[in-house]
Amino acid sequence: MQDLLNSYFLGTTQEKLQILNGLIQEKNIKFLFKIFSVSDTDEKKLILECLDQGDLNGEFKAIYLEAMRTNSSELFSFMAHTRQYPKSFFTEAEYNQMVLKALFVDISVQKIIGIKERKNTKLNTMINDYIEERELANRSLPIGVEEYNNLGD
Amino acid sequence: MKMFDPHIHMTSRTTDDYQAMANAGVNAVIEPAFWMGQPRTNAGTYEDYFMSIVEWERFRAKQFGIHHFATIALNPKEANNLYLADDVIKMMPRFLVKESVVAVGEIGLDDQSDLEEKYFAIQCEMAKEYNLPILVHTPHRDKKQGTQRCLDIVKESKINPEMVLIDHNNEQTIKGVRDRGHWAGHSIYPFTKMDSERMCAIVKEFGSEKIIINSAADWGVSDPLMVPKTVKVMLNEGVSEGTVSEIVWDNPYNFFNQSGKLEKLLINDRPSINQSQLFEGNSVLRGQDPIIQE
Repeated sequence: MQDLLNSYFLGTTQEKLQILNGLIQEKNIKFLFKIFSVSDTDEKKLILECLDQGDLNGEFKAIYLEAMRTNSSELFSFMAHTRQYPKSFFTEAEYNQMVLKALFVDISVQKIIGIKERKNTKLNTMINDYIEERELANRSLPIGVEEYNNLGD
Repeated sequence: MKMFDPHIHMTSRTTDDYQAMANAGVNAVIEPAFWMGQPRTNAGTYEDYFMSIVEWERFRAKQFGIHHFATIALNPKEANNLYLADDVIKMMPRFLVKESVVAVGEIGLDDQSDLEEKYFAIQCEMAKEYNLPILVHTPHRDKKQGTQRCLDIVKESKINPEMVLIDHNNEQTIKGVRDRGHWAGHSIYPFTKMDSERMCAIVKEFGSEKIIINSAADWGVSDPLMVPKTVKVMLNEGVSEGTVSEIVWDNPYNFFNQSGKLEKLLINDRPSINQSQLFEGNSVLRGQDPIIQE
């Protein structure tokens, strides 16, 4: 395992892409998950980009969901603002969590891919509860709340 | 007034924090197992982490006259890592029986995923098997619904409601928690979650029964002195000393003593300090004269 990981990380970007696409074709989720877990932010972006283009049935969704747990707003906005994968494969609950997290990390909500199409009544309730919670704490609302409310029905 | 901070991640804090807490009257802390800010890459790192919070961190605390206890769990965030979760669950029993482990926790929900619910339920069963109370983390996002789901999972587990501490409450959640007969924890943060003034208002409305406060201080912007600071606010706002003492000492003591491991004699007084002691050859000192109490 360590030898395989070393050969991946020591490879050029082109070699990494070949390995990643091979793993996607083989549906080797476990090893790709391992590579992802020990990658830095730029390396993670490469994997997510590959999945966005190569995982046509959402079979590697566990990796995207794991990536969404990041504390890095750079990585989070990369996924939410530039990748189609969440819009295509996230369940309603998973998509809603992504939107709420966008508020928490204070990034744009209107730029989230698919937000207009995937807006839903549960998400409306969650946002309203969030507004109430912020008001109880006398805290201002992130810009994303206004953006969400301006999306219309 | 002696105080108990029953939720603080001291592994993320410095010895200055221990000293400041001791000076402010904190006699005892509980360190719940949690995540480390970035995801763990394998279950083996959990083993080292669990060991450190039941051994090294306990030693560090004692060097400053503070009793240290721990809770052990697979945290909700990492319950989503299907390549890690089962191995952590398998290693938990040998830590749950350690003398300083007083609960299963933090368990609960974060993203409110199916995997989180699965491992939450599994760990409720473990708590029953090992006769330990549970410390339940409620989600920061979608808090109201997420807390309700936590309450439902706890109910489904048929664990005794008295053995359940639901944490990170706010005005939106406390009533539901109390209606189920659970203990209600409140994490007092400098900027988010709950602040001292709001906590004081909650105490004035709900009283002190089964109310617990903590700092939940960790590696983020947080304050390990939030328990003593909140005590000061409550006293200034006219809450009686007896009520405050119940909240910051008797309640956490009584809840976690359901583990049978918090003997009153053990923590009524501070542990005596002997900074000449070493742990695996390591000292907390860096050239200072050691403090040695009789």
